[in-house]
Amino acid sequence: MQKEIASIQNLKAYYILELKSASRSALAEIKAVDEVSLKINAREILGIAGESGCGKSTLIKAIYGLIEHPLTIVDGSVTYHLEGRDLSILELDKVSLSKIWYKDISYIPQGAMSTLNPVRRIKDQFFDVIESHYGNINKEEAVEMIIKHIDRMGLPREVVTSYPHQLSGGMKQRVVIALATILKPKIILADEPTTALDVVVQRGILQLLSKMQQELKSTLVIVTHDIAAHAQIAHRIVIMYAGKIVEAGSVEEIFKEPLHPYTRHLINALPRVGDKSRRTGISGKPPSLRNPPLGCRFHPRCPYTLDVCKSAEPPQVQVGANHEHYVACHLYSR
Amino acid sequence: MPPILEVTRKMKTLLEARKVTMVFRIGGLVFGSKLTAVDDVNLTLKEGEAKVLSLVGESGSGKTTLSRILLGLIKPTKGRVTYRGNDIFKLKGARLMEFKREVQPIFQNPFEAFNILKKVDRYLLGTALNYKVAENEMEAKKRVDETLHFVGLSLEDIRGKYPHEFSGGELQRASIARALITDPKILIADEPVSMIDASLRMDIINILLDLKRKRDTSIIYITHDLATAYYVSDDIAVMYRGSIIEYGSVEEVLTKPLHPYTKTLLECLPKPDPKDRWKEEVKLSGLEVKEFEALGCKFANRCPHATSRCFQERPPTVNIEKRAVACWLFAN
Repeated sequence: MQKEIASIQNLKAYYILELKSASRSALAEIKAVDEVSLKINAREILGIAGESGCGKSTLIKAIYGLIEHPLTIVDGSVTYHLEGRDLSILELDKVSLSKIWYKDISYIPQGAMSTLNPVRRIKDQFFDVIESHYGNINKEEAVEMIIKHIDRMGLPREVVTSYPHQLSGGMKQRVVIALATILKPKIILADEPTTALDVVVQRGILQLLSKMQQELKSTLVIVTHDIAAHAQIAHRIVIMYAGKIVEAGSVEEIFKEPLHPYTRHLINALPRVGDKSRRTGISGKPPSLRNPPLGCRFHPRCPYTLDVCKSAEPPQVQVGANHEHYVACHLYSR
Repeated sequence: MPPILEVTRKMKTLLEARKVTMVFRIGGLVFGSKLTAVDDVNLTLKEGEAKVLSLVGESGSGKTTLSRILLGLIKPTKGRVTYRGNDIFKLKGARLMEFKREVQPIFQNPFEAFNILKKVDRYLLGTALNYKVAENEMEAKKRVDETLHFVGLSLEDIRGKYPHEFSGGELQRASIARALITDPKILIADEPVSMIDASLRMDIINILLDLKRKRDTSIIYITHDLATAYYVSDDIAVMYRGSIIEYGSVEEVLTKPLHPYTKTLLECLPKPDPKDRWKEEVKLSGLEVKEFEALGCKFANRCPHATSRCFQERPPTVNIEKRAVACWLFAN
């Protein structure tokens, strides 16, 4: 039995927008994360996969406790188990959040390399993070510590005195990872950390993240649409479709025997070098999250739709020998 | 680079790039620097032999600039691009119209390819009338409906809809249909599926394959994605910092790569198989290097086989069986 570091219970995170026109106003709810429950184990690499608009970025934001208008937590909880204390992150105020961010939980947002402050040197951005937790610091000592830390990412010492624009995309992304790991957090959350990077740099970044996870003995949650990246580094993966988790399990099991028709398609339709056999898409398109289909959200596109799929939400079914593989599909429920 | 693949002499050249070089000036006149985005590139597409040719490379490899030159959108600093033997930058009148009809682009973002204020069906009908492939509204409708059917849509499906009312996948289909209205000989598609949802991507790629098979359209497919390039293409040109460094049949180049850069790309491509994981750690470069202006091989400072010669002299393009490699390892 693995030690659990966080649990997400029945989470509903919606974007609630007010639509105004001259004559009327209405509320629109985009159900980006809808009744999601998930456990995160200590010291694992958990991959969250799915297409754009499936809610994976919203889920990771909620796990970080970064709730900004119009994102609203409608229901559910995210609880961390840190050094014997339980922490419900969605109930914390800004001050409490800033105490645990970077120190216990770090987040690398999507496109993080463009979030570096363009007019401040890299070392100043490190000082900001360190000082927000430890107050005034000895800057000379801190610089040595920063240089040692970025050296692990293969970055030369000149980087600390550089401005972001002097660095390439891959170097900026490594700076962002260095910032996220400098205070040795227990959990690192990374949203699409390799998007917009070249393949060689992508590999470097993925390997760096998994190296940091091992060295810091921490937990890494990585969101990416690139299912092959998950195959390379994740221990366990979760597949999302239209705001719901449709399947979760160890990466080996999911790739060996994907159960949900959507997962099966995602994996089997991947083109591979050396294999020219015909691949096809799934007919139809991902549903609107304002009015998701009743029953199973995948049913309008599923080749195996039963009557029950159109009306009842599929329950999560445990499968596999160690009961760690879950699928939400009527085909597997009795 | 010399003409690369063995081609029957009888076949006429359709589109040809000879020694095409594109230099951009960055910054001011005094302190500015030069960037060679496309460096002495040769490419040939023959008539009567529909092919999918992939141009692959990382960002900054010059693949998009090259595609814009081939479309006649930007004029290269040096070199010539010809269509049916005529320089495309000197075309006028009927010849220019012919080039525009027969060489059509497909863009990465379908939402940018359409006018957001114009209904898609009106836009398509207008295209048919403007290019004079239809004489009147009736004929235009017939033509548009036919091309829409080819991509799995119909005029009925898109009637009265604006671009924002489409999903990305549907609109990309419509943009392929737009390109087909003039019955082009060549389509130049720049990252046509990189913004499309994964579950819809292969359907768009399959449309490109069908185009080659059923309509004898040649396609230049520009991408960073080696896996779809392998799936869709016959030939492949791998670009690095403006130069084509390896060129040949996709089967040969991607399953038995010769150039160290092609090998690196393939080794770094994540395999969708947890049992086949990367073993060694890849080393990322510490500082930025101005490889665009390198005297010798631009890949030299990342190459495990580099010798002093690689840093000083530009490698020649060597023909090995049916492929071309620009690397000193293979020059005698």
